[in-house]
Amino acid sequence: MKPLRKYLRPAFLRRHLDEALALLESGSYLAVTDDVGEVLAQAGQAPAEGSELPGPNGLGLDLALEGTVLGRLTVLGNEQTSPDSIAPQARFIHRSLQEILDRESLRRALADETLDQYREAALMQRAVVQLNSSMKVQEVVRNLLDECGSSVFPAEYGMIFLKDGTLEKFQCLGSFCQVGEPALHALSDSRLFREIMEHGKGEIINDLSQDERWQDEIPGLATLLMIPLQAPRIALGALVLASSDQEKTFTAAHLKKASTLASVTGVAMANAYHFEQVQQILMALVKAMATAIDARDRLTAGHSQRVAQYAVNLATRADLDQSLCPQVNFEDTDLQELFYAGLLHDVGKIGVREEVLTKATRLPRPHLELIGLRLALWGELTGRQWQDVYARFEIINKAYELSEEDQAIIHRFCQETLEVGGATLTILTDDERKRLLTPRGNLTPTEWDEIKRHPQESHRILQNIPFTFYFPNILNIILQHHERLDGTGYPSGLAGDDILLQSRILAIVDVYDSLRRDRHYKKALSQEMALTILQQESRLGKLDTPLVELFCRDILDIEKAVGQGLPLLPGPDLLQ
Amino acid sequence: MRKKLLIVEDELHIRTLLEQVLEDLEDEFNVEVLTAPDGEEGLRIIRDERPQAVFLDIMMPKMNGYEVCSAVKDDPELKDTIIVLLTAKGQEADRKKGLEIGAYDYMTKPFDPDEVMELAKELLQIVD
Repeated sequence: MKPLRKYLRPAFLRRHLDEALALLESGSYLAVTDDVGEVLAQAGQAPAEGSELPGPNGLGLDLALEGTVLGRLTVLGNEQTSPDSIAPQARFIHRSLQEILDRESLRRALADETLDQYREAALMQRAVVQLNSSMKVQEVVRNLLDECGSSVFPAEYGMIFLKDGTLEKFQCLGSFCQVGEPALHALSDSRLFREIMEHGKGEIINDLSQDERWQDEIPGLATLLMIPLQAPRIALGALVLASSDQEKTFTAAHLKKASTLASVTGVAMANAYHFEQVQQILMALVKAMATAIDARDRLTAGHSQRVAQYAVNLATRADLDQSLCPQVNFEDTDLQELFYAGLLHDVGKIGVREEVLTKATRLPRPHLELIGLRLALWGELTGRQWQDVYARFEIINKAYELSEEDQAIIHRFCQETLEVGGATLTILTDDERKRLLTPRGNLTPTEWDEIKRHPQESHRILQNIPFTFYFPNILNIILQHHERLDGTGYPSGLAGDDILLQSRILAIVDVYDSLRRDRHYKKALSQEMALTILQQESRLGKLDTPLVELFCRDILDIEKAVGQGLPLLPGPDLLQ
Repeated sequence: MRKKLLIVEDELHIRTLLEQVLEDLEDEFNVEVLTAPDGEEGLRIIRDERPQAVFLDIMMPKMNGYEVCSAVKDDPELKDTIIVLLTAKGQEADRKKGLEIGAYDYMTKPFDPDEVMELAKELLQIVD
């Protein structure tokens, strides 16, 4: 209850008493005093200083609200009047004031209600905007803590706990107090915590020491407010606010406010959680796709995953190193885009025939054996050593690069002839010569063309997946990952700045990972050798020089970071 | 010296609610809260009582908030009066116009009582 002058404003009282004075004989006096006797307003002839009020010819009438006396109306007549003769007027004036007091009190109570509603509406509005501004659970938690920390709660401790369906225990996702991990666990293990969670309703405990569910799990806590956070069927959590100051008690208003926040948070968390789930499913599908592509050929297993991670690692470093790569600036979403591009860059290989993809030799084995038969016959007829020659052909068939000597042998055996049943055969036909002479690797030009189509194939396969909402460049990054800065790459022969930075990164890590692993046409190279080749390519103007330099400098870290999970992307469950 | 805050608002319930919020400052900050039900009366009180800060509704009969605000800002004796405009929600144009003619800040209705309180304290500190 407020003091009387809040209900009956002195300015109003003065006017009111002035008018009321007219009801009384001249020389009368009216005054309203508060509960300590201070005069709020008066009218008429004031009695002498120090005289007893109301005195023998006056009346004193209490002004009260709900049984509490807040002040008093004093009515004094003049010398001639008796208390009885002024009683009707006095009672009338009193009743009018008492009536105004009652109504003013009611008005205030209603206004307080309304203001509370305004407060609630404003809080709700703010909370909805702030808490829903993020699709990340962790950020929703941070926003809720900020709101609790900055507003009216008398709490030095604020903690948010969550439990994912897959986990046994609650984890603290955020707090604004210095409480160690063990204490947080002790809190979430306490009977108090457990029972409030089970009960599902927020509670205030203003004297923790008297609560038998609390065993001083966090020493020094005196008061506590806890509200369960509910996002239907998904996560169960709690907001805990507390203070070590016994005086800082929580009220029903605090509980109501916290409940409002908790309900909004529940919705926000459900949104964020569902969003993350969808992200995870997408991620899993993309990974499955990448694994499927890599699995077509046992030698490329894990290639896409490694390329994705190396690319992100290199990009992160390029972003940090402003001296080597001053132009590079990657946001988190750019890094995610690059990661997905890395995972999917070889999807187009699904359109390449398996025999081309896994081709290990220039000629298929049965074909080489046929040549062996011709050689054996030639050996018989001419009496020459043919086994060594055949062994040489077997090596040539598998070799990545041919020496001049190899080429000479091939040419020579195109000339060697064999008479069989009247016909003349050469040991090697023209076609066989061409295929054995394939300069590098073992693919014929047609087969190479087939391989070189894979960036476009990747683009074609992925173009209908609506990645572009999040990742506007992903298709182009993939399409350009075999372009080279000097214009010698494929499919479009783009050069220089026309090639996306992300594609240049992908190019480097793609080449590197291929060099470092066995391929059908070559053995795995050492790290040192692989880096030397990258440097050569950069000197030849094919790969981006600063990026290659950075890659070589930080290779240990770039390779090491693989297998440490994917820090940028939604984790396997809510709590990451 | 006792400071004065004035609320100029034609809607009785809003005026009453604002008054009730600001009244809580009376003792702590030695401030008196005055009210006026329309622009004309508001301007008269500004001239007579010289409040340090005014919460001024825009949409009012007789004289609207812009007119009162302009009159105050054009008067060399009154121009230091801090004016906070009260606008209906979502009327961003009001806000811009108000700030252009010299209002210190604006508030949307229905207002957040805590926000009003904070703003009033801020104004009283400026006056100090």
